[in-house]
Amino acid sequence: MIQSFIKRLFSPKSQELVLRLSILALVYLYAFSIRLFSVLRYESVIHEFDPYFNYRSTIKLVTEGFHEFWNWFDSDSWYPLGRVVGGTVYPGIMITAAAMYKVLTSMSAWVQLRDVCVFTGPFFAGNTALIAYLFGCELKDRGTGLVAAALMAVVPGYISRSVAGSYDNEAVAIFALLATFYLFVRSVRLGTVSSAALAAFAYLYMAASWGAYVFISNLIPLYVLVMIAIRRYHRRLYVAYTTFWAIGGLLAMQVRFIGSNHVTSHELLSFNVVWLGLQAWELLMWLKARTTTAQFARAIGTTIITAVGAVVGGVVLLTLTGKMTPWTGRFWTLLDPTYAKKYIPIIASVSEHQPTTWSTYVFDVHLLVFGAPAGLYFCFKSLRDSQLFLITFALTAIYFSGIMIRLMLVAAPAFVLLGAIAVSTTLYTYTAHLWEVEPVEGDAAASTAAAAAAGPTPVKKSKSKSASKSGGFAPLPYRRETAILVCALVMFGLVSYSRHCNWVTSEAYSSPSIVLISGWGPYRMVLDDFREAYYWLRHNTAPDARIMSWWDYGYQITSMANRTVIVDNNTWNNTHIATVGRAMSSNESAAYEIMRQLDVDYVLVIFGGLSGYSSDDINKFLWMVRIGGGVYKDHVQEKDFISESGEYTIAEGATPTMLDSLMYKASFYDFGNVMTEQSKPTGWDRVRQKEIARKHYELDHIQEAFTSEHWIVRIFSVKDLANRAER
Amino acid sequence: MPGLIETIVTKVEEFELPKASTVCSLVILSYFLVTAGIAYDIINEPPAVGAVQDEATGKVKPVTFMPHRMNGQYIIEGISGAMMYTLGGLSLIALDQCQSKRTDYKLRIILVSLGGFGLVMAYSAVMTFLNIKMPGYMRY
Repeated sequence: MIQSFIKRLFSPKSQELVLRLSILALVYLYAFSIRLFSVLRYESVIHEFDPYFNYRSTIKLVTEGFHEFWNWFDSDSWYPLGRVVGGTVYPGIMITAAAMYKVLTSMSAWVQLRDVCVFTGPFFAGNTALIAYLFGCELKDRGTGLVAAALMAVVPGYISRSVAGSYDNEAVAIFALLATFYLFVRSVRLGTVSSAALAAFAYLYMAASWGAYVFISNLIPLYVLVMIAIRRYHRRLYVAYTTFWAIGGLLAMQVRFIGSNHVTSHELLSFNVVWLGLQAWELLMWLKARTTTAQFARAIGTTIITAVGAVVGGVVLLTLTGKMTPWTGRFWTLLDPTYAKKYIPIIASVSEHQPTTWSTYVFDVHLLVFGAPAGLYFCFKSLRDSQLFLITFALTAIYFSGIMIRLMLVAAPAFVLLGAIAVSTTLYTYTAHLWEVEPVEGDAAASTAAAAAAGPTPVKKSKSKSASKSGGFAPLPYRRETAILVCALVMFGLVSYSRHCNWVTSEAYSSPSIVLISGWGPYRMVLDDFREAYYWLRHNTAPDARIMSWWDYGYQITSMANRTVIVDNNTWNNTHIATVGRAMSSNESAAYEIMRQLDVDYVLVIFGGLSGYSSDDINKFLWMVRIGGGVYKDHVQEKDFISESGEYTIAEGATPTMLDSLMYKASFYDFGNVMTEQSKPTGWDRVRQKEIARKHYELDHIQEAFTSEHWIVRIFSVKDLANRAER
Repeated sequence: MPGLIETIVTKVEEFELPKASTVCSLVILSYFLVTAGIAYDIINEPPAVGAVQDEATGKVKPVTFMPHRMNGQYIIEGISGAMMYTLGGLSLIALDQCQSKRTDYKLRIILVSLGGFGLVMAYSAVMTFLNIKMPGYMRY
């Protein structure tokens, strides 16, 4: 018995199992550890802007409980409007991090909530790699799954939003996206209600995590339509989609932000209409089996007329009465890329919403750009239902990624799966030749001769074998060498991919933008100006002070400085942002009026002229003018800020409106006395590489309160009204 | 009206779907267009090639790759990048086609050699382009 147990332990099947499990464990470790660069270089801190709001909400959830979080009205931001956070937030990531924190502390682990939040991204990246393994198995075979897991672990398009410290929605949303797609494809294969219900729960997680759940709820109906169009509709698809619609729709409506939008919004119109269409189709098929052709034709006629009339009439009626919400601007841009530029400058100003260039593809997915067309070819070659889904997903994802850089994140899993199919199939075809015994034709001739000498039955078997080997399909010469060459090429490609991913993660995607690090070794400079300024605000201003800054910094100010802000990154109220933009672009007296109206106590500007930090407010100033001018057309006009030579400048030739604006005066106050570089005049702006036009001036209504060490953050307090009236 | 519906239904049922290879070629063509940055070209309207003035002679030299910026491109630059991507993809397809059961022996030899050569060419071309565009590539 022990003999048989030992035989089982070392059998090829268990060897394969051990190999698979160890590969998956290594993939998980790789995915986790490659994302730790910024934690190792600096410290475990939350990056960027949006994660600070998520962190603040998670603190609220953990300290005050779920009901306080779900019904939270935040009066600290968007003064004096406030923000209904409970109804305008996607709570997925906060609930996930809070749940992990509670589980860890209940097991008596001493962890800080901030560390749990920082490491949520890498943890879910490992999970995404495992889901990619399952998806690959579903698509083709286990080999494809393993390659998909390995590629998914380090693909730079996904790493950019899931490094340690990037505590943003996408960190868990991509996991939910892949899980929903995998479970849906599995339910189409199985055709049971339980598998579709599982997919619906994954859809709930996605709807709770990210606004791009709309992508899933438009892609799956599109897949259903494609299946119908190429005549592959079957009962299992019907069961899967109907159950997914019913349970998934109900679950998604539990999120307060989505609510009844799930049935009334135009964005989910196809989701609901395809469900109605499927039910009508099944009804028609049932009718067709029971009626004659003429009766059936009449039935179809009346059905089509009533159905089309009802749907169109219903949509028109609901839209006219205002109950149906149209497509939001962000999603309009995907269909008409020039829409945002013409109508909504706020959307056009975000750098992530710009269209992609060719180099972004090779930078974000490296060699998988070669794997994508090959993977599409392999999917078309053996067109199973799961591979048809991958084709639909990949085409829509690649198209959308061409329009907005941010959506490279959604296209990266598609590239990974296509590339995995390509790599795995190529290796599968060519490794079969690695162990061939040469020569093959000689063997076939010898076997036919030997078989002819034997009885009739063996002749038939060996004849058919030799016929299939040499009849019309002569193998290529140097078969083994070609196979070695191809396998070596693929291996070299994968090694190069891995090196590229390491470099990209280390250099491009691991910067904690809250801390600026430059140089290395003994010449390393860490500029911690942001946190210095925010903590100055926290310790040195009144608790109910109100800070006016551009909307980029709102979340960081409310989270770290714990003060009320006028506008923040949520950008839900365009007019309020335009008011702040108008204040920043007007001269001091006009701006002072607006600041008194908004009860502003402090003005915060980001200035890069001394340090060379290029994402400062003067570089963003044109957007403030555009957004302000979009609402206040008479008060702010873009042409007033553009010099005669047609450029937008703060140096010689700048317009008087520019030099009088609050933004200019606040950024360059006292800068005219500073020498920034040798052999350059004083007041040399290191970002614009020019000498500023107006150097020595006084501020009337604001006074300088704080400037950080490298002049990056400058805070001014707004003076009270004069004691006596002007004469 | 019922007759019209009947003819429409029979026409739809007898409609011949296009072959998978036709659809695949269309798909790869659209992949070429999208990865060339056609949306960027339509929205931002960059020139076909850039121009820089030579300091010594004063003449205007063409610049193929927009330097130091990952988020900007010229039209020809985008198309040449996408061509290399598609070349690499087609090489992988050729490497698979040569192992399928065809009778034309010469075509298979051509496919395997072009496939291998094309793959190496596409990889080196894309790496060269990337190094031109981003001088600090692979430099820690």
